[in-house]
Amino acid sequence: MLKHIRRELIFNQTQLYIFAGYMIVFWIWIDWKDIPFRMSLVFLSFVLPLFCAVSIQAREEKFKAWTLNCSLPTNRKTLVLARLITSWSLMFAAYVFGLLFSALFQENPAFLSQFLEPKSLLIFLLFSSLFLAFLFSFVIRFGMSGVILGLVALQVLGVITLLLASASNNKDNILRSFLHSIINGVKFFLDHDPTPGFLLLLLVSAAAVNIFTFKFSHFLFARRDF
Amino acid sequence: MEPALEINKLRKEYKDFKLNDISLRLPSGYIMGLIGPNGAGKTTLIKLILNMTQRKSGEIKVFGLDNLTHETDIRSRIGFVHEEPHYYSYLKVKEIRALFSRFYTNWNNDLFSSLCGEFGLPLNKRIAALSRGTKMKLSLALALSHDSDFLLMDEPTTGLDPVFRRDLLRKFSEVIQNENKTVLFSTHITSDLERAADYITYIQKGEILFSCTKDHLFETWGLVKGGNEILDHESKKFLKGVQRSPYGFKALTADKEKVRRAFAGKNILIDKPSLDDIMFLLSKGEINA
Repeated sequence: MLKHIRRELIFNQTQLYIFAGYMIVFWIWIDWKDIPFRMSLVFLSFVLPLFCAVSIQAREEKFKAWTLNCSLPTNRKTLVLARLITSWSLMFAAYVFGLLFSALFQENPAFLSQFLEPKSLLIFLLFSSLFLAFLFSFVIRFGMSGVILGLVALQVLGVITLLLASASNNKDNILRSFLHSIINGVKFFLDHDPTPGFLLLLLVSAAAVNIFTFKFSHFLFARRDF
Repeated sequence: MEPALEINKLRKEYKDFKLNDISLRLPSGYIMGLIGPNGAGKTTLIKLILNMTQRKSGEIKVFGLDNLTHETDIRSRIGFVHEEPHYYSYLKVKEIRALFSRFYTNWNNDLFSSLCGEFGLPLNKRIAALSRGTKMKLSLALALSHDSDFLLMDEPTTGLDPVFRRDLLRKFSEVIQNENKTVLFSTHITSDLERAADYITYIQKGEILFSCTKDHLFETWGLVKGGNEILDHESKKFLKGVQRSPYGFKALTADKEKVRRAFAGKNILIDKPSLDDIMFLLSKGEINA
């Protein structure tokens, strides 16, 4: 597996430099704008999977590297697993970098103390896993153009949902209820006391989502022709 | 001895193209050339052997092993050259070497360095700075440096200068001096096949029209020429790719003795066809000029 992770890192080294630069700008922006920790955590949980799953794929398609990778003595299961592990390694590295950056430059002591809580890490893990589950599977099967179409379609769907939800004043509007349940779900995770049971639930949920991501992505990738 | 490659009733379907019941056999220690017009299915067949493309049905065995269940083992014994070598352009040749060396247990760094010297490959140059021909040379050096038992190459001579092409064909012959080594390569350049191949497989519109030894091909196939007046419905049964002109016809036969008998007493000429003749006449089909 290590040789595969090394291959991923060597093949994507330019992307990694861009990624590192982006992370520096991201944390400077968080610090400069005084973004609350909870908001930063949600941003981070969406930005990192997007970067890891999508931008690396863009390079891959440019150089048609999957053709090369799929001709090496390995199987597609290993290739998918290596990509998933590399993505998580990068995401954790970015998380730790954010933590160090905040320890050095963040003026708000509450921000750092929240950052150091295990609950924050586990919430990041769960939210990122959920977003990665969608992006990773989609990008590995349909490529960059597919994921862009998917994201645009989601955005359009989101706008339509918001418009329809705001058009009706009825409190029982099903779309409003749906949106509120999402917001309440996110709030539930962010506000819940970090009891051991809750932390375990976060960890198990994140693990389950990642296992599903791996299995589903492999199922899709195995059917792709190069 | 197990054949290096055995394909049985292989099928692959795309929206506008299909490989139909492909069957062929390549014994170990020989060179097979795969020819056919553009879009005939050569690249698809090579990708199916490597399981880079999913088949609809059929069976592919490499060294007697199923290519789906023993994918990794088989690939570790194959030296693959893609028609368009894909490498990240900002990597250097030596970085590609470092990457490949970890995937092949029999990787031979000394051999790679020696091939780089022989092929004029600069280790410190980035891929982006290499010409198409040099990228192909890199691909070949990589394929030859892990002691592969089977060289599988898709148009390896395309983009190479004639001098290097000859050197490369000589190298193929050197490779198979070891009886366990086998080569399968696709090409459009029929003279390469005449020079190097032991077996020739012709593929057209997703079907194999023939797959046999080069000697058998030239012993049994013939280029038939004669006057148009002797061509009738019955005689055309023995001929393929008939081309008529005001001066007579030209056609191929897969059995020149049969044609000799069928046209006994008639004024025909049977020549030894070149691979170019075979490819041209088979791909064009019947033409009346």
